[in-house]
Amino acid sequence: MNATKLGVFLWKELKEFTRDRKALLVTLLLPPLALSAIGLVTVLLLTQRQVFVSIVNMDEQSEIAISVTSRLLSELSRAGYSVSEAGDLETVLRDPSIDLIVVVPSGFTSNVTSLDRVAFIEVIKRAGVSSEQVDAAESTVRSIVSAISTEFSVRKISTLAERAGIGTYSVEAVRNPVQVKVPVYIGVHGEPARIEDIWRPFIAKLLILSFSFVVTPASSYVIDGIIGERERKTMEMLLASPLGLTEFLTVKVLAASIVGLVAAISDLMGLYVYVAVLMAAIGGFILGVLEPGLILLHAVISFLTILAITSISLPFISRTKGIKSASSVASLISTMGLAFFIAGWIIDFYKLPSTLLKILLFVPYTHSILAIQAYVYRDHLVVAGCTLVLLVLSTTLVFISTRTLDREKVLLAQTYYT
Amino acid sequence: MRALRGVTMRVSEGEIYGLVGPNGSGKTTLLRILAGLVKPSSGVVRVCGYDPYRNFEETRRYIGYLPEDANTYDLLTGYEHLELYAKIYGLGEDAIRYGAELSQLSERLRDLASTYSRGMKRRLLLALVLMRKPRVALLDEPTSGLDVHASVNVRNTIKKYALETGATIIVSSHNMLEIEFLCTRVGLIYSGVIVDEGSPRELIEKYSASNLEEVFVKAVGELSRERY
Repeated sequence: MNATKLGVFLWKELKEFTRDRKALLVTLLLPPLALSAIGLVTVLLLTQRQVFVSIVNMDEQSEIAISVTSRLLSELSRAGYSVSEAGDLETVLRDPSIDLIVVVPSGFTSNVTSLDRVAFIEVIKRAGVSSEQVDAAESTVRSIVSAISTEFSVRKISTLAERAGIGTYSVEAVRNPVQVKVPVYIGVHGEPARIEDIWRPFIAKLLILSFSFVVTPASSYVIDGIIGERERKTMEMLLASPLGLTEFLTVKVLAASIVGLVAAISDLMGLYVYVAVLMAAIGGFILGVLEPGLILLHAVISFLTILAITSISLPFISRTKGIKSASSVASLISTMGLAFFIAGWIIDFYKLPSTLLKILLFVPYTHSILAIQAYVYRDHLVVAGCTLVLLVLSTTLVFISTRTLDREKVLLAQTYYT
Repeated sequence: MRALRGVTMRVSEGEIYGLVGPNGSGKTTLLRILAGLVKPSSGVVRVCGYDPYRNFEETRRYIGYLPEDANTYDLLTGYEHLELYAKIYGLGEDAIRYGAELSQLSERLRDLASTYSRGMKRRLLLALVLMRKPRVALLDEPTSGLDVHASVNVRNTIKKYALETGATIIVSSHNMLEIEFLCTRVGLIYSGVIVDEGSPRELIEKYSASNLEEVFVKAVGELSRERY
């Protein structure tokens, strides 16, 4: 293989790509713009969704019940829910617009003030209309009730302690004598964890998921590069030149991988902004926890993954008669990749039993997922191993793919002898 | 399917040889075999003493090939095309200048090829083939689909190149006028067989015809009746 010719032809491929404004727009700008817009729209829709809560006080004569009801009303209102008080439970049960019903049952006051009974507040959720906002409303109710419960505990314990003549006591020690402390996060090797350590697995999952976005543009590019070149009648003169079929096909795969890498970075940015917007809407914060090492690894693995995928599809694409059949073959290979990368979002491949993992390692996508996940566990040996396997595998596949083809097969896959 | 059935031909150095035949007669396949792109199922092919298929690398130095419906890259300028092919062939600025001269595109070389007319694209493609002065130029239908002016221009370029370099040129065409104008010898190809060959004058005299078109009709007449 001649490196100079390879470089010259790659330069031509990249020049064409950078001049194709539509392709650039779709590959570079569209993913971050579209995903950010989708994130904003989702947040907008989330905030626009109203949750209707109705509170029914069935212990009407009691001041305590009235006070609890009014507190629920005011605090739920303040939290942004549409809250109303209903006099009749049957009516609100039949009203489909009410998402959540909070009932202060009769006998509530008697129970809450006794020393041998527990007072319950009932929460009724409508099946089938549940959403995260309804769950959030329920959670708010639980917090308010918990605060009310604490206040009653304090009163009861103080009164009992006073009557028993106990001078030193803690309400919390009586109420909750055994508790779990707020968890302490540690790093993989026992060191105190930083915010990046806590978020890293999530970011890694995002990175793995973003692989699935880049497989398709890379396949399309290699299809266009080979079959498109044949159909646009620019291929025959090149094949007759000293460029050589190996250089021709290698450049097509390399160019597709570079385009894929550009798409990977762009998609990742889009995905990151999308998640950041969503997290910001629900009070989280992930901006600023991106780790340069992880991002660099992602770029390298993206490039090698695309290189492997395109070189697997290369012999099929080069031999097929048209763009439709080539696209079918490429989409089959891409779909397999997609399935793996979605699995990587859900499953921790690094923690799989070694016997199962050994079988999965025959699939190149596993190495891509494992490299990223192993980075999270700071297992640099596995990271290096997976990267090396991907590098060797992709270059071997490119080599085999280009060697199994000859000029005649590539040239005449579609045309006929005249 | 067999595209060629026992073609025997010899083209001497400096000759302009015309391949004349209808669609599907085997012209393109023959030129592809000579260019080393297609492997013949049997027989012997030699270009400058080499088998163009087996000795592909070596023959690239000698052979220039213009496919019938070759096209340019829309997103590259004419000059970038010249640069690309010059670098692929390991040529320098001189070759690019010569290519630019052959293409006659002058200032338009700075424009993207997508803005070129069909004739301009064909001139550029011809320049890409001839800029490195190949000893053997294989030109498949070089004026196919061009208007009269563009065709004349391309023909003049080929003629000028042949005179300047003394290269061997094999040109295929449907256009008998073109073949008469350009070629020193003509091969009439029909259904994968060279039916007859000779200089245009010899063939016209032999078949008592007034032009090459008549020669072709008379030469393949019997075969044509058998086929249709």
